[in-house]
Amino acid sequence: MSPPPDTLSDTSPLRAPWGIVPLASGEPVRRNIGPRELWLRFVQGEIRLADCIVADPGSSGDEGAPPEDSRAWSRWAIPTPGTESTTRGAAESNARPPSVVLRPSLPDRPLIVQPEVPFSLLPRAEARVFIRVPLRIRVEVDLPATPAPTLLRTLPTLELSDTWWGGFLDGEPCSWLPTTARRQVTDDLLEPHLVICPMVLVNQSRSDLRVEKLCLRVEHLSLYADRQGFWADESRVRYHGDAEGSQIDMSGHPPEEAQSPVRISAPPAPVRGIRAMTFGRWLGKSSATGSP
Amino acid sequence: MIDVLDAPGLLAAPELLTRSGLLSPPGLLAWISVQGTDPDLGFTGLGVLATTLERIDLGAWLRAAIWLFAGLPLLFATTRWVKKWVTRQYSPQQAMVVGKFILYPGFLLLIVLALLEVGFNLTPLLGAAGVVGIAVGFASQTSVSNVISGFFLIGEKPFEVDDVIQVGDTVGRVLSIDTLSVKLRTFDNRFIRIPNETIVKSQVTTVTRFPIRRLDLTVGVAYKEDIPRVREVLMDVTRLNPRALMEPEPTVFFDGYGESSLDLRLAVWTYRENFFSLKNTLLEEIKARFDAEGIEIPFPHRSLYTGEVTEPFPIRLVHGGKTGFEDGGEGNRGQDPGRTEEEGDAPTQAPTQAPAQAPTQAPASAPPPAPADPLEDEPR
Repeated sequence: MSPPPDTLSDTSPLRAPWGIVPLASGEPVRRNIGPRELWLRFVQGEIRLADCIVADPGSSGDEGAPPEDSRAWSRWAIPTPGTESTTRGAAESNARPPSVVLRPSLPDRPLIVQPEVPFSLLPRAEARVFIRVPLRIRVEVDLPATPAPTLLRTLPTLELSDTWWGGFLDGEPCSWLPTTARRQVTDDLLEPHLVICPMVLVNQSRSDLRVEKLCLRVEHLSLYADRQGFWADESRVRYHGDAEGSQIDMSGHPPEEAQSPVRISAPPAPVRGIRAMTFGRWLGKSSATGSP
Repeated sequence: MIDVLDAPGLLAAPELLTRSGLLSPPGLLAWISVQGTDPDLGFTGLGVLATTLERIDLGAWLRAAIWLFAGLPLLFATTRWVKKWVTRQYSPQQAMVVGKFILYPGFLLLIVLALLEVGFNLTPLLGAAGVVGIAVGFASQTSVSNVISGFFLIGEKPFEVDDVIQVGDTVGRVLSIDTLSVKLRTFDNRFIRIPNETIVKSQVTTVTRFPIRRLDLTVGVAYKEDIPRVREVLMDVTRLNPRALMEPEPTVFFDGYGESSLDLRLAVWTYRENFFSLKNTLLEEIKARFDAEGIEIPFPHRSLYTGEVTEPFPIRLVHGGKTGFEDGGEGNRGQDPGRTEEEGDAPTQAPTQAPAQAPTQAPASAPPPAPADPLEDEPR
């Protein structure tokens, strides 16, 4: 399979609510991405941003109003062209609003995925599952003076709980994602704030593999967009037993289900394959809590 | 002792110096020699001085000065550069140790080189050093003990620079581990110096050694409450707090029957930098949730029991919350015991059973119990 086209700096594959946000001077603009509501405005040479979580994203209509509390807004003063030749105030009032781009990105640390219904893999069995992961929003501004977009802020579309993966001394910080590991992709799974991560789980040990939790290492995955939604690299996890960990191989291309995908972000830590603990066998309740 | 300034010939010295170029050392020596051998002056001290100055090799003194005045800045600069490099490559702790290993021997070497240049014989000094060492050793046992303890601390590495440690009642962040002492900055910004020997002898807790920590909160609820329900509410509050780790799993222990409450302990794990904020938010959330769920947090109270054959003392609240006894106790003087009941006040009746049946109504706004955690640190 040939690799999909790369459009890392291009915003055209991004469909609303992602992509370029047109700002008019003084007018607030709202974007809803999943449960996260964003408000953007350009005032007096500043970009202002406010965000909140909407309890019921589906019911959010056009009646929303921007936050009135000034403390809810973050502000960035941007370079104003022509400041030297004119007074600063005049330059700021005449400044044209810059282009703000909302770009999706994968979470910045591994996710511990807990299937709602644990399942088992018999020896030599193989299962393909699809895990939906909440995206993060990169709020970027395209300034004429800088070659690359400037990152203003990164926000999660959905706040995930912290968790710890591994032992007390050698574990790693992760985020917690309770989800349903689906065996098939249907249209209702595709949502603008979620990316679908396909995983092929292979039990190469001689014992049953009980999948109660698994570690999804999103930092090694690319992000793709198609007309319907977002996809990540397909990864293949081969389980060899508790002591040996698992071999994780990234395919480097999106799943077949994606229709004409384009890559919109590269993995932060690109690797072709790693060996790491993937399946949840936490230390056990007694040792986890320690003696009272 | 002869004071050279008393010599009459010296009174003309400035004039001589400026007129005939005696400013140069050979000229000065020649002048002193002449003056010193003049019998009319009756002054032989200048002769001694002249002899002494003749023996001094000014070139050697110059070389010694160069060793010190050029060597010391060079040594300090080298130490600083090496410490920066080691800090970047390894850690501030290792940089400090390496810096000391360069600075102290380097300083000693420069002193020895300077002394050798001026012709100082070090052999008797080394011999004397043994004898002096014994005397000094006796006199400075504590200091030597601190130095040796410092080596143990550096070798064993129970903590490093920038760790938060607790020694006795003192909690603070380690600023430096020096030859004699460890310096701490407490969270109220005090500077504390703890001798190395004290640290080696004491129990030291390194609060920031591991990346995750467990927060234990003791929560007391009224005896009437259903423990499984309280446990479920506590777990739910914990699940909703994003700072509480989902794994290791939070746990609720039933600690026992307190004087006024059923005592439960909520054990929650968090990243060490979130410890303080988790404690703060969780206590607030538990209080709010208990209020919403109608779970009572009792305040300490005591029941009076007069034996099973007697009736319990009826107690009622009168004006301003003063309590009185129906049998004409001091707080009930002049009051009609039945009047307040009719007016709708709610008299409480002391139970006749053990404290297990003791709870009375507690105000819903009673504060949650503060956890006793001496290791509370500042957010990092």
